[in-house]
Amino acid sequence: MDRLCKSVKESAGLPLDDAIKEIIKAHDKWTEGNNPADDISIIAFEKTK
Amino acid sequence: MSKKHKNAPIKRQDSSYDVTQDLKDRALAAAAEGITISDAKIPNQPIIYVNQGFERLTGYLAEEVIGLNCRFLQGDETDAETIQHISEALERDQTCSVEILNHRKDGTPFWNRLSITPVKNESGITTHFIGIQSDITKRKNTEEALEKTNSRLEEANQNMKNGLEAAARIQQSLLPRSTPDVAGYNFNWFFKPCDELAGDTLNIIPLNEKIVALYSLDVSGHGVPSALLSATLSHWLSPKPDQDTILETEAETTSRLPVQPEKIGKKLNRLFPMDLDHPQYFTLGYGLLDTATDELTYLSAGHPPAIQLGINGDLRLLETGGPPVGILQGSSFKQCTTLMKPGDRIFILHGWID
Repeated sequence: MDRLCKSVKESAGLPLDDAIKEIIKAHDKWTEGNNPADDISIIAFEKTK
Repeated sequence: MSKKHKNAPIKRQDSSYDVTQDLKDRALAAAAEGITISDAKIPNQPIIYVNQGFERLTGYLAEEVIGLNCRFLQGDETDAETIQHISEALERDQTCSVEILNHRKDGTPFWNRLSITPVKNESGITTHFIGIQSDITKRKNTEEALEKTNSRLEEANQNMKNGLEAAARIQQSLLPRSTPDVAGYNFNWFFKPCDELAGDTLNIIPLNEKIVALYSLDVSGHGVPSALLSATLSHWLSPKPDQDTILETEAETTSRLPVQPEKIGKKLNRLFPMDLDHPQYFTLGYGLLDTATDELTYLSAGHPPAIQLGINGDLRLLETGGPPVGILQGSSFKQCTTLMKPGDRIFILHGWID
């Protein structure tokens, strides 16, 4: 969970779509591009104002 | 002094290895394979000798076939290319080896592994052809049966593949087609199955002008059983009028009201118990976002905690209590709430290797 939290934290300030892409990119990096053993999903939402 | 191995061959100087013509004749006659000798010097290359193996194999007696060309064994079903191959080899005085469909005297077909070798005289001129015939019908039948089985397996495999692809398309169609257009909020999602069919699913569903339901679930295991339960749960968690899992009808007003997450957890736990017939459970992250009050009421039943990220980078895990759904009857599920401040984001992540 630590690495996941770190990548979420590092996505702060990016538009929501880009934040998701960054989290996916970080995940791909630490799995070295291997197919995950489980389905992966994200639901993300933000309060804009 | 060298020591010879007890099994070392000993070269004999006497005539014990002399092979007489009589021995050759008897050996030819006794061979299990069919053996024929044709005269290459006479047009149509007639048979001049067949052994008993040939008689056993074809059912013809020697006196019935002497003087004929071997092609009388062929029939309408004999492969023309194979016949052509034999003819060309004979014309060029070359050895040839083929597998050819021949017929016995009683008309029954048999597969013949036929090898024909030219026999030459001292001047190198082919005087005869020696043909050796072996019955390989059993092997050919086995090969044919194997081929048919393989073909059926390939067909079954393709059907299964097509079925899985169709099922995967149906699963994809259960994912959100668009994100809700709610003032003050942005939504997005990402989903990647690890196999053709997924045991996970998610959705973002506006229940009314104010309330948006969000869920992510993961059915234990993989493959078809997990995908089926996942699709079933998508149906149960839909806002359709025939479903009252996430929207229930208020008796007095008949209006449809959102059901609280802990109640949904309890209901699904009761409806989908893990047992011998259904050895599956699932984790569920379910939230109700009130966009008017900015309050998220959520439940994580065995699901990883959602992550709330503040505009300043503050991070909080939204943990709640409750085991995966279906594991233990009578389980209680505790829901919690959190407030969304401007710039706050919530991530409900599942399946990430960490």
